Amino acid sequence: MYEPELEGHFEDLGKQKHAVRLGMWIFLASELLFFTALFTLYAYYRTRHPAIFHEAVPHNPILLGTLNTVILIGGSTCIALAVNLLRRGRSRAAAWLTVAAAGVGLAFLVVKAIEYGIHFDEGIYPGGRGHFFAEHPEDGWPIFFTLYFAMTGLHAIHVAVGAVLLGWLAWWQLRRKVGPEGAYRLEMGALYWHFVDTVWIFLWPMFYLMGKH
Amino acid sequence: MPDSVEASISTAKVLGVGLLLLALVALSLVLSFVPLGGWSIPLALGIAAVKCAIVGAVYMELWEAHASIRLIFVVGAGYVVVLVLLASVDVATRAPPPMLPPVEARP
Repeated sequence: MYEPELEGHFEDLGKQKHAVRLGMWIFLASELLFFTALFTLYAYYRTRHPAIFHEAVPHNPILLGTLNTVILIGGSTCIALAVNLLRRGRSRAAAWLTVAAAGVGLAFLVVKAIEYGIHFDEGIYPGGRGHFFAEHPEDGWPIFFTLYFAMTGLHAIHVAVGAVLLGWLAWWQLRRKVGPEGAYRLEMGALYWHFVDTVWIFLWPMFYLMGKH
Repeated sequence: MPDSVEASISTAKVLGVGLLLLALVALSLVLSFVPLGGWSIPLALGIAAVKCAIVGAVYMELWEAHASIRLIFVVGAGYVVVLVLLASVDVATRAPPPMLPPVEARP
């Protein structure tokens, strides 16, 4: 059975787990600031080119974007369930729910790849390249789509990392006997996954909803 | 259960929150097709903020978290709001640049 080891500089396991949790939250806050720079750019350029951003949003496939939102919320629910089941000692169920959450991440990336393929077919490439921008010469168009590729691309990299992390945590749970004492480790992976979900919760309306339909 | 293991949330509550989040997704989607004029952006972002708050409070357990962890969340979220608001207000309130008369080159 997995038993966390008490490090020498902590008085007890409770304090050690609090330090682990605090460290994870500080990391998530730094990741949030990473995205904030891009959110700020979006706010700046949306205010500068409101009509073009409004026209550009419907060029993103709303059904695929919504499907990805549902997928990620499903993944968050799976991993939240997994953490709570592990705390109650139901380790096998928790392990398979972790596998499901990792699978959800991979499904998200597949849908994202299909979506990028649709854009490439329409002549929309990052950096304002492609025949679409010859037909739409105003400045706002390449700015919108460069922001779209930068923000969703960075988010997709985070989803990929999260899927690998959850896959490793699932493997760890299936390989070893993990009881309630090991739940805090899974909780750290879950925190990262929920963070990735909350970023997409904002990206979805910004790039798929806030436009002319 | 040992003292160092955190209390768990019931399965029903986790699933209920998941369904609530999906209901809010459906609401956002439906409202995006309704012509709401100037309200469409604040509503879309407002619903997103509510979903974020639910994920943060329940799934990320901020509701029961230590004050130090809640402080990190508040500071991080605060920076996002400040930066995004200031960037938008800056652009929205800029006057067009003045057209200066051309300066003659010295011989």
